[in-house]
Amino acid sequence: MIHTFLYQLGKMAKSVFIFPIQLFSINAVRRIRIHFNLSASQLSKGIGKSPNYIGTMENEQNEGSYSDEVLSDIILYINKYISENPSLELEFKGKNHYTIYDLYPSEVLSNKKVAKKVDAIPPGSGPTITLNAIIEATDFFKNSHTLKEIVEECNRVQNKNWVSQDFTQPLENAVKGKNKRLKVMLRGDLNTYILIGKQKKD
Amino acid sequence: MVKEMANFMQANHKYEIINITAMPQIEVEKMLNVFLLRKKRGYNQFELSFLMGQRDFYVRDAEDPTHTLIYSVPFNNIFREIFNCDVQAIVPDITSANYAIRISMARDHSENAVYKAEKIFNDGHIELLGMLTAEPKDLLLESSSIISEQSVKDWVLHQISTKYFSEPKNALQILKDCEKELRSTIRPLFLANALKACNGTKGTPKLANKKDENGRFVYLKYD
Repeated sequence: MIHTFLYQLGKMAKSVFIFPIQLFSINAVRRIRIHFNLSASQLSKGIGKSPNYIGTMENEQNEGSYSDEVLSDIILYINKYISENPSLELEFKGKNHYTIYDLYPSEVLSNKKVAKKVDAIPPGSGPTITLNAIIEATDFFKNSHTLKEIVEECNRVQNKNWVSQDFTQPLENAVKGKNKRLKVMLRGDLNTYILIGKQKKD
Repeated sequence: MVKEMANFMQANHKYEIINITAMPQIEVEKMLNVFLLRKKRGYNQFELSFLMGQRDFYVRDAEDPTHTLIYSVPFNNIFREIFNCDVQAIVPDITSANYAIRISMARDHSENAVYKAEKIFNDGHIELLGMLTAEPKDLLLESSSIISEQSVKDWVLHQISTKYFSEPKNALQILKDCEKELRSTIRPLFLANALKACNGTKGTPKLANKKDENGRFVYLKYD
């Protein structure tokens, strides 16, 4: 009991504070990479960093944030990834090219540090980002789920009223290609989706 | 700027291209963007350091291409406030760049380093961005400000007699408040001098100056 309390206390004490503009960039990178189903290690290696680099930056307990040089490298990698995979579902209609300004806020933010809070599931995101974030950051797909259950979970997380059709493409993307994260399993006569046991090496 | 151009013309044959290894290319370009913004506004290196809430020679070091100091991402937000511009004016978009930056160096008659920054476009034409040198703290660049140093000093003394400095305030906040009340732009150097003069000697009031939790110098009056 006391150990649990001390552990929690230790975790709380380790909260770190960064500038809102740094936090904005971290969350923007996370949103884009999750949309394109890029794992943290895949993006890290894509920009010539160690596999755990992006994961460390997205860790709320770590003070790290991106420099403009790294933000530029991330943009170059994402643009290359989009051009090499023309069948990718774009984040916004017709947007097949990003610039470093997509990782910056349009408004001037406060210059007072805030607690580093990186949302596991980017709030207000559409079906693709929500689904990909649930796959990456939660245990939901450790068990198999039907399409109906998946839609219910995404609606619960984002407080939306999405329907099955909204997830046809995102689920298809999740079960195919070199970045596939889920596999289809039959439960009775229903298709269900579950995490692939061993992730394919990036 | 005109004088700098004249120096450049005279010493042009002495310039040698240098390979910048102290900072990444994007940081060199960002530094040059900020350099051009501050020149346009008429702020010297010390004045910009002051408004950023940093030590006196911060900008001087950042503008030295051989120094490793770079403007980190949080300063992009502060620069937007100082220069009232968007992020595109500060951070370069290297995905669409059709040029490279070239820095050359020469020594002036006092053996001080003078750096010439140029944009070399893909089609071969060259654009001179500016000449980078270490500036004296009290250098007054061309400015549209018509407010005298005494007016700024009087304003600061008046604020000290009120509760204005009961809460810590950074230089940029103070400058903006002063400009709002005097209804004109003011030279940051005048404000820096006025604040520095409030050191408790010769009957002057005393303002404390320390870095806050956000890493910027702030001014505060202890009652």
